[in-house]
Amino acid sequence: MYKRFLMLIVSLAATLALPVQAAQTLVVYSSGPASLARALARNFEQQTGAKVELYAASTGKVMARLAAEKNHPRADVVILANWTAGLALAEQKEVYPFHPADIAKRLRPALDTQGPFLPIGGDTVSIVVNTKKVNDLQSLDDWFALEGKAWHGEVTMPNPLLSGTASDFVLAFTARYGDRAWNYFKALKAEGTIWPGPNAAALRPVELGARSAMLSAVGHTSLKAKHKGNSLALVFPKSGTVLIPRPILIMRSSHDKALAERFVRYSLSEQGQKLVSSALLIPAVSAVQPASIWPDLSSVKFINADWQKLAAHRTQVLERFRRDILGQ
Amino acid sequence: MPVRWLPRPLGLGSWFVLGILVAAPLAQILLIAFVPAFGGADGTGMSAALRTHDLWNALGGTLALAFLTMCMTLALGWALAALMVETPLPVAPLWEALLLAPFLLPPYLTGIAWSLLLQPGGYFTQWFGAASAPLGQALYTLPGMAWVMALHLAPLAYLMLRAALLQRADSPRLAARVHGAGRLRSWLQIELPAVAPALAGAALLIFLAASEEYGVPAVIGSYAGVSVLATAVEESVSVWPVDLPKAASLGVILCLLALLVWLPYRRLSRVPTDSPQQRPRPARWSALLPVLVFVLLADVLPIGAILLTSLLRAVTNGITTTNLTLAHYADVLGANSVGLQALRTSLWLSLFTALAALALGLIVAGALLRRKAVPTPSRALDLLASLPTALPGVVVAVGLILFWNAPWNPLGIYGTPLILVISYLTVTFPYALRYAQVGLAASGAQLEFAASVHGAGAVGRFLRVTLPLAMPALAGAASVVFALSMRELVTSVMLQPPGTQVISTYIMNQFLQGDVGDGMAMAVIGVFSSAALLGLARLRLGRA
Repeated sequence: MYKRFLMLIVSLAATLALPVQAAQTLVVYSSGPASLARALARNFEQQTGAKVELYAASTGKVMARLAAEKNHPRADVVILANWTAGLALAEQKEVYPFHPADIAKRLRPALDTQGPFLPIGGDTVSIVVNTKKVNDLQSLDDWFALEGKAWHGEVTMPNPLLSGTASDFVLAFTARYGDRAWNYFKALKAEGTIWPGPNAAALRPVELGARSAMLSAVGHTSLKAKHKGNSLALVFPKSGTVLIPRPILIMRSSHDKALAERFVRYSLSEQGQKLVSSALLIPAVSAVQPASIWPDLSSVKFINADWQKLAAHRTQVLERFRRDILGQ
Repeated sequence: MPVRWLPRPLGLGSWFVLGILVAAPLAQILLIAFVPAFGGADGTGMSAALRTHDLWNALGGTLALAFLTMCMTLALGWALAALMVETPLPVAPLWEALLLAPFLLPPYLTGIAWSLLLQPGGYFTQWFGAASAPLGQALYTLPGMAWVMALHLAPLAYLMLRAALLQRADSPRLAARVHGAGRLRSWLQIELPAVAPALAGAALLIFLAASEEYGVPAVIGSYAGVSVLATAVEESVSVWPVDLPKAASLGVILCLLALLVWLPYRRLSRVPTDSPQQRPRPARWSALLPVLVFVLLADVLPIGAILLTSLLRAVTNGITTTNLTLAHYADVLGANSVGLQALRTSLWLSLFTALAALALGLIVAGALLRRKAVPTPSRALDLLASLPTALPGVVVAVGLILFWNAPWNPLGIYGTPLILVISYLTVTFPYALRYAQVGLAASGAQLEFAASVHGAGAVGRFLRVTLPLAMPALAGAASVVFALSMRELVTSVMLQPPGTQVISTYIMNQFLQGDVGDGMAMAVIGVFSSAALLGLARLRLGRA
């Protein structure tokens, strides 16, 4: 009996001693796709022998976690789904500037955007429809097409408080169309549109045929679902969509900036960018091509978005969306 | 004279343990809710939260959901209990186990299972065609959520009401009937008052469980457009823009609601229970059909949906030999896979929690035992120790974040897996304590005195008399705490450190935006096994 008890205590003590950190640990917070973050982390671990601790969640949750941990910051590298979220962190003086010229000159021009950090890739938004429920795709080439009786209870949209790309879509859309955009969102709400969560959650009802269209659907999630054999189509409105760069940044509070820089460099190396491409994002480096499943990007009209200017209104616009549209 | 088998620091120790686990997070929540500036946090406090549309929306949702769930659960539980008491089925233990099994599945998994069954393109559409579409729409509504929760909670109501029905005496009813009272009158005046306390107790307990529930609203609520306090609290913490004071304020309101229900329940549950007074009735098969229907709805369909999904290549392609696969199990158990890591993390955390809960449970139970002579502080300690039963998990999580992540807190526990152990400990502590109390009661004062007379010291008495006698109850405590920790969802979601996933967060992630098959394979491996463990613990020791 004594012995068993003693062993218990010894094992208790041993377990307590376990959470001592390994020598070189890099903490990475990443918004989706989680599979990309995991692949980058695994290969980086193999190459360097360092350990990567990964937290993968939607942009809204990553940003919330960073805010909640202000007193005891843990993240070294942060990957986000939209440029203005990165600029918001920079605005709060949380970012350690890393934008070396040797990488910057290899960037795809459309993704080479101002900021104290680099893009790891890019993505865009479109209207995704279930082709079993919607036949006439031509009528959908306008962002404002989803209003009207036929769309009652048929539309979903990712929650911009969670989805980074949806938040940048809302920023660019409201900046361009002003009150017309806000009235459109209100009309969508009145016709029973839901904002059930990040992209995957909003796409699911459309994928399953419970609803027929999704506004502001991010490219990689929709393409992946389409590739799996779901009857989905991506419609890029003629008025133009936005190409949203996804930042990879180093936190000012990082304990090991050298290791963090190595991770960023790895992510933008050819090998890292191939992982980005196979995660169905548009690679940041021009030498690596987007996955062949992507529609021809030269046929899509992109509007110029001034992210610096949009970022200045980020909090205000999202607060308004939360209050007036989500009703929270 | 109290038995002195452990030294004085016991009382101090228990106050310290409960202070850290329960009082400190609660105090921190109250502080941030009413004085937001204190925590240095941005955001609004209680006064602002009370003015938001959000709060009233969520409070209304919580009340409506809890009330509907309560009504459905009581109806189900009462009907089943009356059936099983009036016309018991042959092979009673089998039916008993089947009636109780739904409670062993965590509610979020029941919610996922019903989504898989009823969602458009789900199993019902595949099996029954478009005719089942209205059912799918019904699931994503408030009554649909209440239905899922009622299936989960019905066993609880069944147990409580069956006990009451078994205890009620036959004679007053017979006397009433002999003296000319009609069926309705004798039911209203004799039978109803006899089960009323149990009914009220069950109603309160179920209302409490339903108002705190996070899993089902998280799985179904966002599609149903139903907001409840538990998910609203989680959102204010984990969705940008973070508003900790608002989370604390909503948490305080949820807590008040829970306490309002729990305190009367606590009084009711103290009603002494007598042994059965009723003559056992002959077993008959007449109750078979309704019981079978319940077993089909609460056991076969959800468990079947989970098992099936874990074995199918593509959910929408139906059951064909080419579509069957074990690949999801390989994914979960593959070397270095995220699933295996989550499983391993959960196992270690739960094991550690179980051991720590045993030790802490013994300390507090010992202090409570010793203090029986001094009633007042003992009562306060007892209240503090059982408080977590009423504390919603989401409130515990917010409290722990506020306390362990406070700027002045030097211990870097927040952000490590240890914070999960602490949260599991807080949530499961009342169970550990109850079992430890049972265990300590097993060795009476006489044995202690005898050992003492024969020269055993305090430590010797504890190790050689008290502990061996308490072992069965302690084993029960360990397995219950272990199993509950393995399935815990809400504090895991809110507190998981970077790089750490546990079973429940893995399942939720796979369901919400990953591979449902992998998630369900994990549910079969991780959750069914702990459910079986809980069932076994109940069979062997739960009657204590």
